[in-house]
Amino acid sequence: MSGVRIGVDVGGTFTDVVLMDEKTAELSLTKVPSTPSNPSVGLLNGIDRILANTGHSIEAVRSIVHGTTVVTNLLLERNGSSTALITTRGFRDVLEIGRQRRPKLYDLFQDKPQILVPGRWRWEVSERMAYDGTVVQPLDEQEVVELARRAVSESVESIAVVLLHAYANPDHERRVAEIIKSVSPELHVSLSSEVSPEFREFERTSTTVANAYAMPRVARYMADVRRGLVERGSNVTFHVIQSNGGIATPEVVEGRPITTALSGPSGGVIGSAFTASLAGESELITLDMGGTSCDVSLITGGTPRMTAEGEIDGRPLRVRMVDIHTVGAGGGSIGWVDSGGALRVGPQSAGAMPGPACYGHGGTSATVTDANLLLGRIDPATFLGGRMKLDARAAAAAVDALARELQLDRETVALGVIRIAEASMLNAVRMVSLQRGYDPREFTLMAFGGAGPLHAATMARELGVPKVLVPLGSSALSALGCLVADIRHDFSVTRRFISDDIDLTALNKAYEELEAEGQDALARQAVPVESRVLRRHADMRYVGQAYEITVDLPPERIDDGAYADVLTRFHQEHERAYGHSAPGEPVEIVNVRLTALGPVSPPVVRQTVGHATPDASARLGEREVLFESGVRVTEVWRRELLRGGNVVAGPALIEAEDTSVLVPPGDVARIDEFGNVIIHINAEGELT
Amino acid sequence: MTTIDTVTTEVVHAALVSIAEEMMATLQRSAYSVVIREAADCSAALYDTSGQLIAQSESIPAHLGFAGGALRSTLANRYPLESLREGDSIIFNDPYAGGSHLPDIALFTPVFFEGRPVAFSVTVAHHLDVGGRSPGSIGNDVTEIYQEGVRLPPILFERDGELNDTLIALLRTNTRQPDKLLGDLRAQLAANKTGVRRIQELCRRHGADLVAAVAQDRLDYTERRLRNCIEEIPDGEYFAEGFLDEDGIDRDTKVWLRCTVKVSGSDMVFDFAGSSPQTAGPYNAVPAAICAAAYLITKCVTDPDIPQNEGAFRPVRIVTPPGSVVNPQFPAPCGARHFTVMRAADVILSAFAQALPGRIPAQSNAHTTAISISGVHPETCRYGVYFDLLGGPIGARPNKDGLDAVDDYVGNVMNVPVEAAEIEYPLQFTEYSLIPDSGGPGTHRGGLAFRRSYRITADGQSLTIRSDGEEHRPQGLEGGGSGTPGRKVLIRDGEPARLYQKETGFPLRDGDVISVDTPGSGGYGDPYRRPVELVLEDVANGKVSIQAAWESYGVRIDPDTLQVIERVSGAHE
Repeated sequence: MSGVRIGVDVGGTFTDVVLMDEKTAELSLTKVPSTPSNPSVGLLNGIDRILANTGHSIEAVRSIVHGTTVVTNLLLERNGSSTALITTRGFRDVLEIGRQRRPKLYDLFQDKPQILVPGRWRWEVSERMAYDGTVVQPLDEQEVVELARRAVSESVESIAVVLLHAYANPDHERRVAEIIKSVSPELHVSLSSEVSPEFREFERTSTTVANAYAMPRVARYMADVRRGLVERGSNVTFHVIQSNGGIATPEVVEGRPITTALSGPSGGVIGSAFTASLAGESELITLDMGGTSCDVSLITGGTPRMTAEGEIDGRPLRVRMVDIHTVGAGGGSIGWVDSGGALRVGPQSAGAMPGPACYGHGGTSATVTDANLLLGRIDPATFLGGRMKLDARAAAAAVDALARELQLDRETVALGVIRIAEASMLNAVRMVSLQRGYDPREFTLMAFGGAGPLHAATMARELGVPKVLVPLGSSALSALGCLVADIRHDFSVTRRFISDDIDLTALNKAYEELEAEGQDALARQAVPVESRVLRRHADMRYVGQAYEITVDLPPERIDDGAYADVLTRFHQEHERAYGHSAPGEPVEIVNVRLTALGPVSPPVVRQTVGHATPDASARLGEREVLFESGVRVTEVWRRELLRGGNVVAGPALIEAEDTSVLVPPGDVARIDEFGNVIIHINAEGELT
Repeated sequence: MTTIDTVTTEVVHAALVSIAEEMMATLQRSAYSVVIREAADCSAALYDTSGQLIAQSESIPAHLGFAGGALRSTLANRYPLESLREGDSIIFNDPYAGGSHLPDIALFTPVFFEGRPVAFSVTVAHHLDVGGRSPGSIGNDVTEIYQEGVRLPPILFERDGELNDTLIALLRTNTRQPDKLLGDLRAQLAANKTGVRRIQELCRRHGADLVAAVAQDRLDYTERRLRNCIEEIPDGEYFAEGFLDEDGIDRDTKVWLRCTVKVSGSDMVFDFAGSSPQTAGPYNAVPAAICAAAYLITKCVTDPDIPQNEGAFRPVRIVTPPGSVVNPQFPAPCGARHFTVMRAADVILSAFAQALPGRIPAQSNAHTTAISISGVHPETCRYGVYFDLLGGPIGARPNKDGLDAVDDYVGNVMNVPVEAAEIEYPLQFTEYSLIPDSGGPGTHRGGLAFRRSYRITADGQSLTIRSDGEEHRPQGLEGGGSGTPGRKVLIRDGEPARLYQKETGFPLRDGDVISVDTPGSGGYGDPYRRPVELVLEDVANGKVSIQAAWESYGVRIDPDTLQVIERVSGAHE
């Protein structure tokens, strides 16, 4: 009997499910409503639905991988568990003081991010480590016993333990955990030396506290999912996609839930990288434009760019995550006139309710979607596959109100709203590319989300990007990412090595220790020894700098020659990122990092190849669309009926249920053998 | 303007702002000086060829607009525009020719497009040490600018793409930290060149004339927006004053900052008449530095989102009497000008409290304590300067509490992580905590001060402190109480003793502990009207003591059960 693999992305509104038949490599998709009060219900419903749709039984399921917003949402909505914090004596307020900065420079009425652990639950213990891990003051164990008892009596559910320099010597933190567990085994404990063993106490505290805050609810959620699967007769191991784009077992996630803070979006980026790799693309800028915002990320060499400096809601999280830059530009972004009389767009959004004026839910603000509708780029009759009729008159009224204020005509304002929204997305693209030393002209722009494919080609022209790729089934990209993600664990620890006095034995030992941890983690997930991949990286900087650049190291023992190569690579990376370097100066390693991978065999995707000329049935008709250059009669095509090899010249619109692709005049779209739409910018006459 | 232009303007302007932001990010992330990278005491900007500010990064408000005077004086007196070529960059730091204080070094790079100059790409950064009397160039007991470090008139740092080796050799020999100074200048130059490339790309896309036209249009637009806001402030003259405890030389005389804000229609004048004469010590602020305080508060009380360009300065005039602390005459020292600028901002805000009642917070800490501990690390045998900037907090607002332990208006500096400091320097911190009861009581409580304590773990280290606010107390508003003053204590052999707040070069011993309390901030409104549950919460969270809950807020709390026993209300009515 052939097996199937299931990927599920639990979003805020919908749960997307992808099923792959391992024998036929056929992909099936479905969508069910999410159930935010208990997300496991939506997840299980989605699995039931896709099995019913495809006629497979639960026994056929070989693996389930899912992306979740449980942690993201509880951090944003601040409805995690009662959490206490134990620190070194004298430092309980580090969490509240933060880095001493106010979030905004000129706003007299701003707030700091709300603290997840109030003062009454921030406790100190007598102990102290020096920076090199030597014990300055031993741990007072009796104090810990009393705090653990207090936690129980005050109904605290979870405790974060963050002691100074615990990354250099975790003994005291581990002892604190043992004592807490001996007092009450039910208490959840998060140790900074396990969650984020890197120096800089505030960032480590913030990360560990967020982890502790999420832990009890994530454990309950995992238990719900597991129980639901068992009730359905499945004992398959399910996995969760982490912010680093790799997957982990529930046991791992229960201990470090914070690694799933960006689970959903990272699935999207991984799905993108996979889809693009099928189309032969490895250098990509991804543009995921939804209703309220647009996420931009960079993929180089087929690998999404990572960062260890992420944050959610103003709280730093020092865990490896896909580097996603978000701007407030989406289909629902509102156009408005500022006090100086200039037209602005966003970051305020009409959201889903009331939504753009054209949704007819009472919205009166002119949004990007309203502008697209008035310009003819969205068909009011076929939006969301015709399930939602759009009200063009409401859109016109909203845009007209803005036009009166600006003393401009309707069309100019509609074009203006779109150009300004595109400008803010362009700045985001420049930020993730140019600002990090990458030239966007060497990339392909990959556009998805409900609104992305309407704007991508225009933006590509502006950036000098030669190609746009709109993946097939772009709305389920995150779920697809779940199917293709590798098992992945990132390990790091602060260890300092200065180049003019490098102790290579100690450096190699530091990596060997991380590798033992990595082997261990992969073994627990039953990854066969021969397929395990361990990659070494180091955070490096010139002595005296405060920010680091992550440099890849060779996988084997580092000798003098290999180390010289590493230094050269650091100077090159510094030059690329910042435009200068100083090859004569001492360089230090401050953190050693290891990525442990257990590759998952990717699905085989079916290919179709047809003729350049699309089938006549795919042509829906034509309508007038307003471009910057004027009104053009534009052919409208139905995405589902286009076949691999088909070529469509702009101006054209390719409509799918979840999105529309705009092919401006002068550009040419080609459908590849996997069903992706590739738009070649300024390619008129070259492909047709 | 034609219709398309409105949109093009918005698009090109957004690009100009993002260029300045990118330059700032490049500079800050690759810098060496703790003052640049952690305190973010640096900024990046684009100027037009006549020296008008086009766009500035969202960085430290202390730099608002100040490079403009320097650039204009450079163009007028030293390097006329036509003498500059592609690949040139000018270095500059002289406060008496438009600069601010010596550690702030500006770098101006002209941008050429199709053979003609179209703009200037500019960065300013606070360098760790530019020589002078004390490590970090922060002496308190200096009486002439010559004691404060190297003074640079406008000089070509780079000509036709070739670095000025003579100048670099001279700089290297006149600083305690040559590698850091040069590393940071390299970061500045790289940031400027990023700006050059980006402006050239923008000109290539849109044409240099259009970019220039947009920049000019945005100045008018910004001015219009600001004038609309100023119109809404009631006309009148609003006076406030405040002081620094002393100037580092004459310990018995307060330094007064007095400002009358004159609002008339859409114009504002900030007149500092009546301020103290220039000081013997380094607490003088040149007009370019004082202007930043006026621009900053203008932005805070009108519209925080107003773009940062010359248009935002046009409706505002600043009057600084020559020979006063806000317009010192050469060769008065002015290294500690940040304190004067911060107090000036505080005073201006207090003046606006009369013009805009209910819209202005109570007074803030309004200064940043600077600590430098320098010497040779016994383990690495390297000479190092540990530099720490302690800011905050912000006073209570008319509708909510103040902000605990965040740096206030003029600055926005980050702390140095305790662990990062201990890795590099012979230090072991013993405390970093909020100070209960330091926020002025009020219906809305003032933000809390904090304590940071350092144990010195080596002999031969030397301490310099630059601070104020041990006599001055941040005032409350509308019946709110004042915040606590700051203090510094040295604990040697277990014996605590007060440290002078402007100590220069104090010799430390292994085992000494230095403990610094920052000042608190003012409360807003009658404390007896503070909801009892908020008082209770503050007590539970350790922000207000049980004693202060009773004495300041009229709420008697049982220390064992944390239940309210008695509430005195209306006692202040």
